[in-house]
Amino acid sequence: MFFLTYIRRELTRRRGRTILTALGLGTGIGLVIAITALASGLNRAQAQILNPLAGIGTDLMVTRTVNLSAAGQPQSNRRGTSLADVQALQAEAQSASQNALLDLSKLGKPGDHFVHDFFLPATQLTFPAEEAQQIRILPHVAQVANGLTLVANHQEGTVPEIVAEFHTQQQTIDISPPTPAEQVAINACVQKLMPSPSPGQTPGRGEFTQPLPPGFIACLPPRFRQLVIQAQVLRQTIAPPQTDIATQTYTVAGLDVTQPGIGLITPAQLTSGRFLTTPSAQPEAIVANAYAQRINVKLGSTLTINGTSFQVVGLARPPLGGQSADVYLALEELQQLSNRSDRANVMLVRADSAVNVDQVAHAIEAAFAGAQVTTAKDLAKQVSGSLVDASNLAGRLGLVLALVVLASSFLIASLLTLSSVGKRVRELGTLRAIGWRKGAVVRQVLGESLVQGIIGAIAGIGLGFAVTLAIVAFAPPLHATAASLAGPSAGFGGFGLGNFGAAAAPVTQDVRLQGVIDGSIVALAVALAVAGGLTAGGAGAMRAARLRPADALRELG
Amino acid sequence: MYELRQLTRRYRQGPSVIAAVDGIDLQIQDGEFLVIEGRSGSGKTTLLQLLGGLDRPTNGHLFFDGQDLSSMPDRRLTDLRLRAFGFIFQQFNLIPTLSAMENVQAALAPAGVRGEAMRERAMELLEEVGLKDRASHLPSQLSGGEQQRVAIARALANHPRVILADEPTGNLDSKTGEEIIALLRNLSHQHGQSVILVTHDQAVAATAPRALSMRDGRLFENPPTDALPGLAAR
Repeated sequence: MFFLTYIRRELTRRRGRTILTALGLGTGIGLVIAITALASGLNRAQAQILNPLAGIGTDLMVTRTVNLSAAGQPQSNRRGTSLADVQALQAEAQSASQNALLDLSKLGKPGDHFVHDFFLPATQLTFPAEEAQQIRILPHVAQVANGLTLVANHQEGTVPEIVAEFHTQQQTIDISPPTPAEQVAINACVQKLMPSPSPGQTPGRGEFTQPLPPGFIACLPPRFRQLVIQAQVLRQTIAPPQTDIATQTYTVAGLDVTQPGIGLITPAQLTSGRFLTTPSAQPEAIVANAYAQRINVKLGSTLTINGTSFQVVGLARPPLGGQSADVYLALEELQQLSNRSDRANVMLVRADSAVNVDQVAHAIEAAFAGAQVTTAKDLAKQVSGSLVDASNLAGRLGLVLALVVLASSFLIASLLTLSSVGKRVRELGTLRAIGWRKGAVVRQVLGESLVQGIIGAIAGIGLGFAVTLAIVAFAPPLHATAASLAGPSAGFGGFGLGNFGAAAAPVTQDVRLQGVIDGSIVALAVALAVAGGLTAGGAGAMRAARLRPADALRELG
Repeated sequence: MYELRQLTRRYRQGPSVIAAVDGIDLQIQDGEFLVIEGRSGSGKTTLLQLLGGLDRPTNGHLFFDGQDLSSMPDRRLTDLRLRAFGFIFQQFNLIPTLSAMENVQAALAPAGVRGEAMRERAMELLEEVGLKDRASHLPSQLSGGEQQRVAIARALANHPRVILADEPTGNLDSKTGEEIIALLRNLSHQHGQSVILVTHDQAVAATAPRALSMRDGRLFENPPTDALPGLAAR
C-alpha cells in the first residue's frame, strides 16, 4: 500500500517531529497510566483492608452490644438495647470478677506471688452458642461460626494482707435482786412444782431444803431469763491493703477451630507458623504480630493463662476493623478459662451469595432479638488514615490531574500536527493537483497522526510503568486505622470494677503503595493514544481538507 | 480538445477586484504544443489552473472534450486531474520525504495501480526521462533538472491527454531548461499528448509551434518567431 509507505517515509524522514509529537502524547498517556495504576493499586489495597470480613470468610458479624457513655451510664444504642440487656452485661461482668477480682485473698495467702488473668466482657453480651444453629437455618445463610471476644486483664503481684481484727471491751451486767412481790410469786410457783412432803419431813420455813424441781426457771420473771443488749454500730478505720499488682490489658478471642475458613481470623491472616489444629495435644494460641512484639513472644513460645500453657503456633495480622484481638485460642478453651461454657458473643455469618447479604442481615435482626448486624460496608466507614486520604487524592485530584495532563498533551500534539500541515500546504496541494481526492489527503494526515499516537502509546506505557515503579519504590507506606470493636468500653468504671488502664489501641495497618498495571490500563492507554492521534490528526486533516489546490499552489509565490 | 468562451476569473484584492483572466476565447487542439508567454502577474498561471481544473472561472465557460469544467463537481474534477491532466511546476513540487520512484508512485496509487505493476510502471516512466539509476534518490539528492524530470515522469504516469506546465524552466539554468523543453516536446510527440506551457521566457516561447502572449488577463496571438530556428527545426 502506497499510503502506508508514504506514512512510513513521512514519520521516519521527519524523525524529530515524529518523536516530539509522540513524546507529547506519550507523556500525557504515561501520567494517566501512572495515576490510574496507583489509583487502582490503592483501590485494591483499600478493598483488602476495608473489607476485613471478606478476609475472614465472612459477610456479616452478629453481636449484641451495649453502648455505654463515658460516665458509665447505659445509653440506648441505635438498635434500642433494653435496660435488661445492660443489667445482664453488668451481671456478667460482676460474676466474672467476683471470684477473685474483688477479693484478692482468694488468690492465695497474703504475701504469695500471684499471676492471674481476669476475663471481662467488652461491650458485647454473650449468648448461648447453640443460637448459631437458629441462624444457620435462615435462608441464604451458607455458614455460621461462633466467636468469643473478651478483654483480658492480666494481673501479677503479691496477695495483699487484708484481714481486719475487731477488739471489743469486756462488759459486766448487774441484775437487781427480786422485789418482795416477785419473791412471793416465785415461791408460790415453786411450791406448786414441789412434790407433796413425805412423812417425817417437816417443811422448813422459807427455805428450800430439797433440790429445786425441774422447770423452776419458768417461775423466774422474764428479766432473769433473757438479757437484751440494744443494737449498736461499731465503726473503725482499716488501712487499705498494700499491693504491688501490675495490670496489663489485652484482648483475647476464641475461634471455632472446626471451621478454619470462617472465624475471627482465618489461615489467610497468618504471617508465620500455622493455624490452630483440632484436636491438639497441647493448647495452642495464635498471637497478633503487634502484641507478640509488645510482650516479646515468638513462634514456639509458651503463653500461660491461669495455669494453662498455650504454645504459640502462629503469628497473624488480624483484619482491620473487624473484631481483632491480640491472642486467639480455641473457642472451647477460652470458654473454659473464662467460665463461659457454651457461650459466644459474636457470630460470623457467610451468605450464599454477595447479593443476599442485606437480606440475610435483615433476617438475622428479625430472628435474633437485640442482634446488631455489622456488614463489610459498615466496617469500611470506620477505617481512616493516610491510605484513605491517598485513595481519595488519587480518586479526585488524580483524575483532574490526569485529565489536565491528557488535554495538554492532546493540545500539544494537535498544534504540532497543525504546524506540520501548515508547512506541508504545498505538498498536500500538489497531491490534490495530481489527482488525490480530499479523502485520501485527509486519510494520509490522520494515518500519520494515528501511527504517532501508537508510538506515543508505547512510549507512554513505558513511561507509565517507570513512573509507577518509581513512586512505588520511593513513596512512604500508607496507614489504615480502625477502632478495635473488641476494645473495652471506657465506661466500665461506672460498674465499680475499677479502671483497667488503657483501652485496646486502635488497630493500624501499614499498606505498601502498589501500582496495578493490567490489560485494561494498557488498553486504556492505547485507546487514549488513538484518540490523541485522531484528535491531532483531525485538526490537521480539517485544515488539509479545506485547502483548495489552486490556493495551495499559489502559496509558493 | 479545449474550448474557452469568455473565460473570466476575478479576484478580490483588498477593496478592488482584479480580473486575472479577462474574457478569453480560445480553442486548443489535440496534440498541440502551446506556449503562453507573459510577465509575472499577467494571469498566465491562473489561466493554467483553470485549464487544469484546479480553479473555477467566475464567468464564462471552459469546455474540455465537450464537458464544462466550470460547473463540474469537485470529485469529477479530481478524476480529470488524475487521468486527463498532468502537472509540472516551477518548484517541481516533489514530496520531499519520498524517493524519485515513490514520487512517481504517488500519482499511480490513486489511479488504482498496485504492487508490482506500480513499481514496474514507475520504473518505466523514470527510464523514459533518463533517471532509471536515480530511482531511489530523495529529491534533495537530485539536481534541479533531475527533479523536474521526476516531475515530468509523475505527470505522465496515468497517460494524460494534456500536460500543463507552469514555468517548468523557471528554476533551471538555461541549458537544463532547454533539455527539459526538448524532453517535453519529444514525449508529447511520442505519446500524442498536448502540452500547454506558460512561461515568462520569450526564448522558450520562440521555440514553440504555437505561442500566445498574455497581458493583463488577455491573450494575443503572436506571429511565430523565427528567432531560434535551430530549436524549432528539431
